Amino acid sequence: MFNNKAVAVLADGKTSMILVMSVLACLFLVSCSSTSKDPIMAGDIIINDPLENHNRRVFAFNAAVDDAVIHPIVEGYRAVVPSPGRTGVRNFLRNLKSPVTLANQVLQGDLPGAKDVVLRAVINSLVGLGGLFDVAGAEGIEYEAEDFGQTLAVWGVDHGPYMVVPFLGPSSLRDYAGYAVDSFADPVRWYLHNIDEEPLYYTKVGLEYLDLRESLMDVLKDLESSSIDYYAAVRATYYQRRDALVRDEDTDSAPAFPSYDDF
Amino acid sequence: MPAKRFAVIFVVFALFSGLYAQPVQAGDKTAGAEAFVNGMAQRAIDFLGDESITHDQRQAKFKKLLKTSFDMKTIGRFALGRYWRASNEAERKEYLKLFETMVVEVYSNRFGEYKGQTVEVRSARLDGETDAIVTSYVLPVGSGSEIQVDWRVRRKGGQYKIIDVIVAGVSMSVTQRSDFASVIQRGGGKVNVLLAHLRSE
Repeated sequence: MFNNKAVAVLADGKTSMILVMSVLACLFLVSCSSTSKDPIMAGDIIINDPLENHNRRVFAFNAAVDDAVIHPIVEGYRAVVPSPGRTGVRNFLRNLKSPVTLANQVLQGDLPGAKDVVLRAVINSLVGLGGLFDVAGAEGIEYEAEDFGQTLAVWGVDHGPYMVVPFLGPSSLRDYAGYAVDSFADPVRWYLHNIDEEPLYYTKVGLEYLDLRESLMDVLKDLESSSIDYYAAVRATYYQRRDALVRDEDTDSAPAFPSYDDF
Repeated sequence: MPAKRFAVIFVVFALFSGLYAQPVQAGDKTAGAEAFVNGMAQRAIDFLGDESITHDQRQAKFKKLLKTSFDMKTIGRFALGRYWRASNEAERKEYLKLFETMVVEVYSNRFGEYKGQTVEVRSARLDGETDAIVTSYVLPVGSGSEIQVDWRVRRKGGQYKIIDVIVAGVSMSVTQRSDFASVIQRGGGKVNVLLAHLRSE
């Protein structure tokens, strides 16, 4: 499956990425709203996907990589590390991410959220064996995923164009830029760089990727089998999930549903 | 004098009962929807975890439960979005039939991989005249985190029906609508293109 065609798509993706990124930047700056006659929606969000043809090619490439490489690796991971062990890995990585999460909570002005991040980091690092056990979560101080993409959203920045990133999958210009900022600013990265332990940093990045893909595999397989246009279904899911995260998963909003009185 | 005192007591009583009446009424309205979701989830769990029946029997029971608990017509109409108006009577009829078949298939496959999770209904709120959003959590068997599942329950003719399932903030109906809109648009705006896909699924 992982044949010349896939490699060609990758090479094509690489060379065109720079071009695409600059085009994207321009689109973003002039806040291009591709107002087509009937836009496709995800709830009340208008989907802005001006690079759909390109995105679909990257999406197909990613799907091929998932089938050939990623999903077999995830299955191996599941076979070797039982569920409690994988949860431990997830807890540990989340704990390592605390500085970035804290910074974003503060930037979003969510001070109770910031307090929770600090409490969680202290409790889980000390009592939870360096973050392997989510002791704080069991005590009701739940983990909340925060990133700079969400911070930008809280500041009022729109998604900009939808993007499918090679190997990473669905994103938007805003969220992808946020991801770059988070990765760059991560104090763990700076620290490991300063003590000449880059391999440890790449191990962490690799584990994060593995953990992410493990958590997504079943969801994606389910979505693929339950949709007609898998690309469109993933896109709609991405927008809704990001929106839920920006709203800190408060339960007070559900998509509106007309009454259809004439039915 | 006693008449006046009686009037004061009456007014005070009326005020208090007025204050109490509101929340009790709201609670009553959501209580029915909560009980409905809870009952449906427990019934599903009962036979999904029942090892004494065959796989086919389980599927059959599940499909029956889906058909009675979900308002497929309303979900189907929502999923077609603006193209509902653009389609004629025959197309609508065929679409709804194909849609129901697809949804039942999708859900019975999805829940076929049941591993012993439990569902806990925790809260509910009213949304508009007819709907309630019931918030539940799916609890894993071993380690792992619970998943929030919200059910939009609509009361119609004294009966409760589910019209949307929202998992971790992602609505099934909204996703389906977006999926269908893309299929139709890429097919040149023809509802027939969607029908062809549904027929071949």
